[in-house]
Amino acid sequence: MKKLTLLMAFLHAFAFTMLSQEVQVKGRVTSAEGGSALPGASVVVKGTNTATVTDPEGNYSIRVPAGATTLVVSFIGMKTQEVEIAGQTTINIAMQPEVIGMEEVVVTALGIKRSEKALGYSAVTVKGDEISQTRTSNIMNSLQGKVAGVAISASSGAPGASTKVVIRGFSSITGNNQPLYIVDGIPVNNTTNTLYAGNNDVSRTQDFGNRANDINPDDIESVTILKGAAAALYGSRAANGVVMITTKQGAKSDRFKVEYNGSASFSEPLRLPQMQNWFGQGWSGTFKYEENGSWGPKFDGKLRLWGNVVDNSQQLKPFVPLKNNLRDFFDVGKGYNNTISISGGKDNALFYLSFGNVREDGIVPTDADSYIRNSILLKGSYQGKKLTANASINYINKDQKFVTQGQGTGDAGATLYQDIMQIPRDISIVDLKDYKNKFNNIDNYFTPYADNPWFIINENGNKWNEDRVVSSINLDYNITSWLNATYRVGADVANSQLQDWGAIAKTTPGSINNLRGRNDIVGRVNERTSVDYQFNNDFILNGNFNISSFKINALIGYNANEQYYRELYSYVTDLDIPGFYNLSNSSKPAKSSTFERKKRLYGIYSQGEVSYKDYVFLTLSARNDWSSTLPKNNNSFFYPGASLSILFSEIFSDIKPILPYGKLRLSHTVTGNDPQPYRIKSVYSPASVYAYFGTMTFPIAGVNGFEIDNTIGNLKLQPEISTEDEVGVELKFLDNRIGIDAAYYLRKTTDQIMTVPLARSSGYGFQVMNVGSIQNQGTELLLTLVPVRAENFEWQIGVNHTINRSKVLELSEQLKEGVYINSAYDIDFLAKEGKPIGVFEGPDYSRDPQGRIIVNEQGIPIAATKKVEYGTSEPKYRMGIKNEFFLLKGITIGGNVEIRQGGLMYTYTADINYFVGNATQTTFNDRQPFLVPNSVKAVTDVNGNVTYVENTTPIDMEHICDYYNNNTNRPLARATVVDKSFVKLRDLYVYFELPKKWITKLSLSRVNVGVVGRNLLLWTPKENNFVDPESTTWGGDLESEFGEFAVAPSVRTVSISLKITY
Amino acid sequence: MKTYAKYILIFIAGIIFTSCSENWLDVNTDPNKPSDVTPELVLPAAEISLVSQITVRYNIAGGMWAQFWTQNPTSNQYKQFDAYDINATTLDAEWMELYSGTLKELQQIKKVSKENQEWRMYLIAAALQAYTFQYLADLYDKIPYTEALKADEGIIAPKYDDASVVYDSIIQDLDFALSKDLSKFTSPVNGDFIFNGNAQMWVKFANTLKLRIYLRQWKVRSAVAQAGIQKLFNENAAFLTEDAKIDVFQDEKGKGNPLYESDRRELNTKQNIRASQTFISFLTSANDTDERIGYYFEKGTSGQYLGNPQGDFNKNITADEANKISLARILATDPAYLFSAAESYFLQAEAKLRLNYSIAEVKDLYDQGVLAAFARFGLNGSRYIQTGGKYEFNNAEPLKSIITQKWAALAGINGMEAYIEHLRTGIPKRSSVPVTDGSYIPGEFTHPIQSVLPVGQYPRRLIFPDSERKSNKNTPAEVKVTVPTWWQ
Repeated sequence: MKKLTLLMAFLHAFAFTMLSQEVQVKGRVTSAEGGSALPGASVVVKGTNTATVTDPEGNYSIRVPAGATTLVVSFIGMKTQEVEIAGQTTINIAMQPEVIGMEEVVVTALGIKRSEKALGYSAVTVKGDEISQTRTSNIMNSLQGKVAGVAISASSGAPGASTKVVIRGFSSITGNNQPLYIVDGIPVNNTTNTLYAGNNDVSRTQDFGNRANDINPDDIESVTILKGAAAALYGSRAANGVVMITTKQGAKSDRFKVEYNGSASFSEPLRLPQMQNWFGQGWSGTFKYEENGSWGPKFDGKLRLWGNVVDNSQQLKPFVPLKNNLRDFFDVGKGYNNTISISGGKDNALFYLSFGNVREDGIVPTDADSYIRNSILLKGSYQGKKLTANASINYINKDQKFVTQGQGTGDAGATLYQDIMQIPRDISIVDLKDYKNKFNNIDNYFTPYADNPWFIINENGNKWNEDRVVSSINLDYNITSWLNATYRVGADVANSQLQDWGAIAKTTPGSINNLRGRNDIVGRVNERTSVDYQFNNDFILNGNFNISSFKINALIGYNANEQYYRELYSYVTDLDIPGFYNLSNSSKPAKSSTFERKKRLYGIYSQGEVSYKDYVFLTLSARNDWSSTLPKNNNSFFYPGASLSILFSEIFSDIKPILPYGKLRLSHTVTGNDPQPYRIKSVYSPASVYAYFGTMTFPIAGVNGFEIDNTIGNLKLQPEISTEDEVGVELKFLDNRIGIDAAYYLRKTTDQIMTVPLARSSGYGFQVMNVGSIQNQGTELLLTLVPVRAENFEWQIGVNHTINRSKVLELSEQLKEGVYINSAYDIDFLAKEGKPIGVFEGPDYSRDPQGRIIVNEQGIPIAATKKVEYGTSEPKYRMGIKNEFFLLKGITIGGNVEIRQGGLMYTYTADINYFVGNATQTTFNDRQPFLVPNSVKAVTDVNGNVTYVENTTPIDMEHICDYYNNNTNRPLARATVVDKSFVKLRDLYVYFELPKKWITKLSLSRVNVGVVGRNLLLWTPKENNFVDPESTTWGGDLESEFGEFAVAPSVRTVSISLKITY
Repeated sequence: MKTYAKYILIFIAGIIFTSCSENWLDVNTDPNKPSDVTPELVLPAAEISLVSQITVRYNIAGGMWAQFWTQNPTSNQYKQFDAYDINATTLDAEWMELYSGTLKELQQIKKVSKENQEWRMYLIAAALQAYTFQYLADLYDKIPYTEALKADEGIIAPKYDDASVVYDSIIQDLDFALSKDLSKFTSPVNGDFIFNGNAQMWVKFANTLKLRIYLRQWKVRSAVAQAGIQKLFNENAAFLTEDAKIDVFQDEKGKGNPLYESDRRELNTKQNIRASQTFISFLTSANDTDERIGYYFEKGTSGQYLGNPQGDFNKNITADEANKISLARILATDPAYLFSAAESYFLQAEAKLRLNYSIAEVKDLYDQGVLAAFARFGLNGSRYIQTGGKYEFNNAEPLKSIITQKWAALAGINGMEAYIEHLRTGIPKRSSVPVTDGSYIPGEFTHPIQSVLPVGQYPRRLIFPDSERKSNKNTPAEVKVTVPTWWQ
């Protein structure tokens, strides 16, 4: 509350802004090399918000308030110049090319600003403008494909869906691999709210986003990604790199700066499964009007009765494929993203206030997929003689609805994406829209094996609401000219509520689907409320000394952090009143449970930097943490680090004309990762007993039951330690028109904290233990080119290329067969010794000694008893290519392409399309009988000797559906694991900065309009004509690399944007 | 310098303030789960865990192999069972639940009740544990026993013991439990769903189980079996005359009969389990329909009790045609059985037969068994055992009578036990002709039409589970599913 009062006081202070006498200054801005005019250069009166840009001839004119002494002139690719006004009214300025990177200031760990040249490690900064211009509602999606070494992918195209960010590969098998997010120096919560209804993680999955996505991109000043070493000062949570977000702050000015940033966007499905258009409804080769598959006869165009006979009538339609059936189901998604901000500053105080609103309604008809976010950010700063105080408060409210993915359940009903794929190629989905109609209702829907998708989206649903406040106070005190103290406290509190319901869907006794045994859906309501907070304190003393040619900077700090989560979850099933979703609506008692988690940590850290003559920089750091999650008597862990930056272009000044900027960086750092809470002691848990598809839950008959928790405690648990070495080089040539930044890193993570599956015969299922080590090594290359730099035209190219190779170096003895990361049906995703961190295993053909495929009596291949490795999820390389053109009169055209080559993924979408005969692959050989090539049958004689004879049983039309069913033909499971390579046109944009003269009359300083397309095109290998290879239903960590299970389709989006600055 | 010192002091004070006490980090006790629970609260979980395996998938797989049931032609769920398509993942989940659920919990109960000398509780846990171990040993031949359930002692890769070792050990444990004074008991046993803590019932359960264990090894270690059975008879051991079952289920998610919960409530189609023509032919043979048919099956839509030939699930029929085949009758409130009274009588009958007691004594026990099997449904079965009755005791083939009736009595409640007994005794016989053949003898097993194994071959064991192979280096080399176990 105090903060707020203080900020209100600031605001009032600005209301009394004084006006004063002004002088007109004009002139021309040119390039010092060749003297060409520089249009669009910015001219700012220093210390004010008075600014202008040069016209196409490079001319400018600006009103300079009395008392102002300096103009600041800047232009892309040129060194920013400060020019004394000294009473002149005409000032021409010749700009020098900038040595890019040379003077750039980077915000590093703990908010310490350092010159880029001094960094001995990789840090990449992206400016707020670049993030904001893609008009995505979340920050990280706008960085996709742009930063070497950072893999960013959206889980799906659903509004508000989560984003996965992985820096330099996965280094923890079961721990956290997401980076730490820091906003204005405060660590913030990045929980991914992926919810699963079942314990097998494929039933009814919902993705309410990850919390780093809450931050309004329009509030961003810059984002810096610290990839490895630099993060160590943040302690154990930074083992996977840090994303440092700096939000905007007001600038000193005579008047308020008002900025509006808005866009409207339109989206449609980018990737839907491609389906065959040759065969229609039926099973085993014959037309059957109750089937949910396209295993029927070939389309003949003839009129055919279809569906059930209801009231003695049946529907009639031609037997033809509906090529765009699935696509036609979806709508155009619409999104509006608006931010208005007001900022300013006077004397010693600055402020920034913004309001952002995002409204998105996705591609699924109805608003069952929608996302509304309102955010308010208020920041204030006061600079006293010795004390500087900063405070900020960011309030975010989200309302989200998510169309449930994954597999349906018996109580809450079917799921859209699973059931929409089980519609034969000749039945119109759009025509099923009237789901209460007598042919389309539950009793008479054409198949008892799947549900009408329109019923699902209209009758089932959910509402997620979250309130979140992220606030911080930062006090800086200059004790002496060389010593300063900082105290920083931050709180991030999120409260969320989820209501989720599945409608009652019961057949009338005696109705067609009732007789066919369609299972009744009894209805279910889930209520979940949670609070999730994090408090963080830092106290830092920072000193600067100069000793002859050496500059020394040293800091010592103390950190205390608490993270807490509590949820209350209740549900009822067997609803009584249809359409009424409240816990009271059942004769069965509600099931409730609470879950609570608390983790505390404190640490002491220190960092020292020594620089010699501004060209050799050495940084040493160390941190010791004490964590509540480690065994009490052994809860301390220490990790040191060192980095070195050598500006060799400065040392060997002879090479400077050819190589104006050359830097070598070296670093070695250690970071730790502590376990999750409550892994030390063995416990009991409320009994919940496996009964195949069922689960027996206590109390039963009024008797409560507890079972021994399947996970045995571990009193010897230690932190996971990552050690990273990095060497990098940065070069700039030819007036900085060529830039190269290359890095090689090697990271080893030892003492992996893993939930290791135990042999059940030991009495337990799992133990959390320190086993094994993983290595990630890779190269990152960033190439920047300016092929053309002419008057009124510039072409910039940026290419980034990343290779990361992970390897599981060692696992404990009992894990020789690998550690399960994820699995679905017959496909396992494992970490195995000597292999990359995620490998797929699945059934293989059983073969005779000659290598021929052994088939069963039906001629269908038999699976070998042992599964085989299919390959890894790890891509061979990733690449991003950016092209940007700056044209005359403030027009910018650009685009980004992202390429990922290699790696596999599991796709249930493929699985279900094979199963129902909608997959294009199932039309092999025109579905005419065929023999499995090179196949044999086993013959056992009376003595039990097995011989193999040539197989003569063809797979006929009747059995083709069994051949493409991986339940009956297990080796077919291989087809559900596909190559996830892709090329994506990430974005394509045109921006037009309106000429100054058009807008000055409206007292506007800047107007920018643009059109941006996101994810416009996607190319994938032929075998994956099913899903967007970036999709996942498993959140944002390693298990998500496994693939997807009936995921929401990805989307392409076109946005129109407008930015106005007053 | 003075200010400098002052701020160092503030820094230190800050540390002290934030970490205020040594206990600040002491927040690692799980608030969500208890660290200690008495046996009375663990036993209910162990009992439900056991029946949820025995009566669900073991019962379905065994029920298909024992040819009570067959896979519905228009759905998929149990095709692999019906086709004899067995691999290392078949019934792996049941192994997992039995070891790290049932057996571990019973082990913990044994440990605590032994420490507290609460011998009645010990007997319950020992009896249920022996029951479970025998089951696993019968299906896998070699299982972890002596080193099993000891992860808390550091053994995470237990060695496998021969089934004979398991047999001898569980007999020993049962004898140990039975030797204790069960009257000395301080607290009532709550949460025993089976016998409500009645010690005498548990003694009978243990004795009947011993009988089952001895009879199973008759062929391979008849001396051991004979001595053991003789001892039981000499001591006038009491055997079960009532069902050992859990009969507390309600029609509510998670609280109904486990088989119903899985196959009917949670699966997306309720029609996977259809009547096998093998069993229907048996029940309807000799122009005298066994009244139990209405409790085992629902009528098909044509109003008849119809079976499908075993394993004939790939035939191309519509759902409406499939609906003419009878469905297995499974209700939410059905009890879940570990032993039926009928089985106890049939075990005694066989024991007396083996030990050459008078045929009249054998017949008497047989008759009681049949009557008990009918009485389970409230039916009077006396008509069937009369002279000339459908199930009249056959003096010439007494074992055939006993095992056949045991088979028919186990339908729906413990299919795997019926199949194990078929493997041991060859009863019912395996037919050389299909069920549609004129010379087919009702009730004889036919080769499943979609079998992946050639004619004449059928599962004789389960394959060591995949989960075990992945995490226990002591798992023995794979043995083919058609290789007989030791007692066969």
